[in-house]
Amino acid sequence: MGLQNILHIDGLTFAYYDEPVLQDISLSFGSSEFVGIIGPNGAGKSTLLKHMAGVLPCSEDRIFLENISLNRIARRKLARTIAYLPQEVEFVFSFSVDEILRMGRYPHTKGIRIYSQKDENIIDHVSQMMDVEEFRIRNFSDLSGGEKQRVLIGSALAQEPKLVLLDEPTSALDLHHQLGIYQILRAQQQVEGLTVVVVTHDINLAAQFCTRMILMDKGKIIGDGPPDQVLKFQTLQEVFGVKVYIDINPMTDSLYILPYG
Amino acid sequence: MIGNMAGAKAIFLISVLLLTLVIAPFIGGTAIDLQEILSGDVGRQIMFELRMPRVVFAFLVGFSLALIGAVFQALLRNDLATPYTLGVSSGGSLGAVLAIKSGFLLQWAGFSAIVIFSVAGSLLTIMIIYFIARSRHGMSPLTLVLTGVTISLLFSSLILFIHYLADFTETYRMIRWLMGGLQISGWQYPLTLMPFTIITFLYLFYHSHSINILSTGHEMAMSKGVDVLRLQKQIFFGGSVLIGVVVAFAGPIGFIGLIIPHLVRLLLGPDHKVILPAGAVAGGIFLVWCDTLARTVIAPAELPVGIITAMIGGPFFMWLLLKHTRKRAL
Repeated sequence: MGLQNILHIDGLTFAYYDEPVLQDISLSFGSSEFVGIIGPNGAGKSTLLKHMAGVLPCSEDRIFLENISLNRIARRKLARTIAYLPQEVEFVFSFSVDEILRMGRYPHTKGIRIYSQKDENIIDHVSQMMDVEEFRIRNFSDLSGGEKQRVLIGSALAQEPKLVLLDEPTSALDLHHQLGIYQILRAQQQVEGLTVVVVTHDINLAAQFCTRMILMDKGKIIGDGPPDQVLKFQTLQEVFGVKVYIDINPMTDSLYILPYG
Repeated sequence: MIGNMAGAKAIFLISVLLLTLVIAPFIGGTAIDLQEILSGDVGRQIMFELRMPRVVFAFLVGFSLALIGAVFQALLRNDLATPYTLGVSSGGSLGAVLAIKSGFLLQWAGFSAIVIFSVAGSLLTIMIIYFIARSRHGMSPLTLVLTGVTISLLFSSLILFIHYLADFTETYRMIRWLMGGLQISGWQYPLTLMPFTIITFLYLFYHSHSINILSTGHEMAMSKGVDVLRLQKQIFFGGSVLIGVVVAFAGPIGFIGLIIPHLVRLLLGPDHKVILPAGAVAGGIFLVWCDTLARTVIAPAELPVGIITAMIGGPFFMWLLLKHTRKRAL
């Protein structure tokens, strides 16, 4: 568990229509955590993440950032603490990589957005860190899936958040790029004290990188804790409805899971 | 390197603008040269009381239509979404036709019944669209455009209905007005329109960076710190008022808000800090030349300018639609 409580959810229940998608969720997130939210399709993972990002309206005060309800925090201020990357981002106009990185500085600038030296430095830093330096002037739409994802995460990190929320950040990527993204995120978590929350279907990668895992099913939290406490044979078979084989990967000492049938 | 290119493009656009504003007034049914303007009363009058105000008026109308077109496209993330296609112009037209039919000489703060009804019609339309298309979590662009098309059709049939009830003089006035025209004399129209145009432009330009981010989608924009709902409401409101005023003065001139922003984006990229001023100025220049054509092509009679923009815009719209369908098919 983190040292300091950043985000706190207190009894959140939510429904898009009649059927509740989230039922009485209570969670706390501290600093420098790497959290993986897993669970079957329709478990409410993405909806929970959207609530944490404040992009879904919540009429009651159920989510608190450093003890202040999200509803009472101005958007710009919120974006300086929480960065969120939706599952699908579609640009209708062809922005360049550089322009998208700069969007990350939006909450730190005002009016017609003149970038200070500090802004420029942070954009340079992020672009080096995400290894997108060489195609900064290219059009975003011309990039490969892995390059796009690196740019978008770079733009999120340029917000200098304390908490970054990513919805399936690696689902469209090959093995090499999946690992690359997780390594960068882990570096940010360990060095900068960033709290990372990913929603993912890749339980094995999550088990390797996450300090904490949250297992969701039908809008409820089924398990919450270190990977080896959450990834239990019995629970997984019940939640996912398949038989699983669990073992320890001797190269990383982390759990890995194979479904079979 | 990039800065120089942008500078060159800006200088080019401004040169075309100045040339247009200087040359266009000299073209028309009656030939005028500098000598006549300096010496003769008639020449001077045609120049300063008819042609120059008209050129300025055409510029402001084109400027406003292209500006709002560009902003609506960005807000709804759809290059088919313009005041015309969303039905905002139809709402304005319905208001204006109602005003012509009822014929009452209502005046408020110096604005005629046509202006007031037209602004009310535009605002009503955008409100209907906004509330119908607004699902529980934001607005879906597709729903919005479909709603706009439906409202457009509904209002068109209401306009036809009012036509049917109208007498011969009213009908003529309505048809003439619905074709869109910029025939004015004196400076009243351009001077009334100018503050609306300038204020809306400055507001939108100030928010151009927010509009950039808004064009990447709701959730993305919110997470970057844009107050999406407030900005959207303000832009829809302000844009609709400006469109209402333009429609009242010039009739529903179509397609400028569709063609010009699209072409400017192709040439200058997606940044609205560039697109808004450049697109608006290009829209102004475009309409001035369309109007010059309208004044001269069958001189001494005049063609309604709406016919010319529609003849250019119709095929362009179809080309855009085809491009979209092809993209989706791939």
